[in-house]
Amino acid sequence: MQFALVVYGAPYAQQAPLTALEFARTALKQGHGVSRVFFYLDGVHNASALLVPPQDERDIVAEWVALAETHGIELAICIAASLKRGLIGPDEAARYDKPAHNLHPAFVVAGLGQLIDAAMISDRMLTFAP
Amino acid sequence: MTRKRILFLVRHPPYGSAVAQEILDAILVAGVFEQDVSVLFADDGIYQLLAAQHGGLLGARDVAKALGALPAYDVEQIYVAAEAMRLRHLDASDFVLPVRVLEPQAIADLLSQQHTVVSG
Repeated sequence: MQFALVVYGAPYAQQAPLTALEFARTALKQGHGVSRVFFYLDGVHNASALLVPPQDERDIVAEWVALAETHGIELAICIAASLKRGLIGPDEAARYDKPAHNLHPAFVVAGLGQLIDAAMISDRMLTFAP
Repeated sequence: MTRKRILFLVRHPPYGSAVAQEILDAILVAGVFEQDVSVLFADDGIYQLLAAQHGGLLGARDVAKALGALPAYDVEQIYVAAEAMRLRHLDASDFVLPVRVLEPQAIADLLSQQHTVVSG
C-alpha cells in the first residue's frame, strides 16, 4: 500500500512529527511505500535547517532527511504556510528581500495542490495533527 | 486521474489557532482540483459556520465569510454532526451555508464512502 503523510505539528512542540516518523518507518519496514510527506500549518517548522536540539534529544529534522534519502520520499512544505512562518529558501529570501534563509535543502516548496495530489496518488493519506 | 472522494473533517473552532483558516484554504484548493469534495463540521468545528461572527475584531480573517465561498469552488456537500449542534444549542438557521445535518450512523456511512479523510 502506498501512503502519503500530512504533518500539522511542529518539532519539539508537538508529538505529531515523531508519531509520523514512527508510522513511516513501520510502514516501510512492513513493505509499504511512502510517496510524500506534506508539511502544513505549524508542521512547516520541520523543514528548518537551523534547529539545534539538545544532545540528549532526537534530531527530528535529520531523521526526516535520512528517511527521505534512504527511501526516496518527497518532503514537501506548503509555501503559503511556510512563508508567513518565516521558513524560506534562498529564492524566496531574494524575492522578498529578506536577510537570511533557513529552509533545509532536502525539502521542496510546494503549493496546496500537492496536498490534494498526495491524496490522489496514494492509497491512504494520514494526517498527523497536534 | 480518477476523481477521489475527499472529506475534510473540521473539528476546530474558527478562532484561537490557524487551523480553521488553513484547512479552509486546503478545502478550496481541493475544489479547484475537481475532486469529489465534502466537508463535515463536528465538535467545536460547527462554530465556524455561525453567520454571526466578527473575526475582524480579533485581527483575523472572518471564517464565515470565507466559508461562504465554498459553493463557488464547487464544494457543495456540507454536512454537520447533529450531536454537536444539540450539545451547543445551535440550529441550522444559525449557519452561513445550507447544510445537511447527520446523525451518527449517517456520519459513519459518509466516512466509509471516502477515499481520504483529511482532519482539520
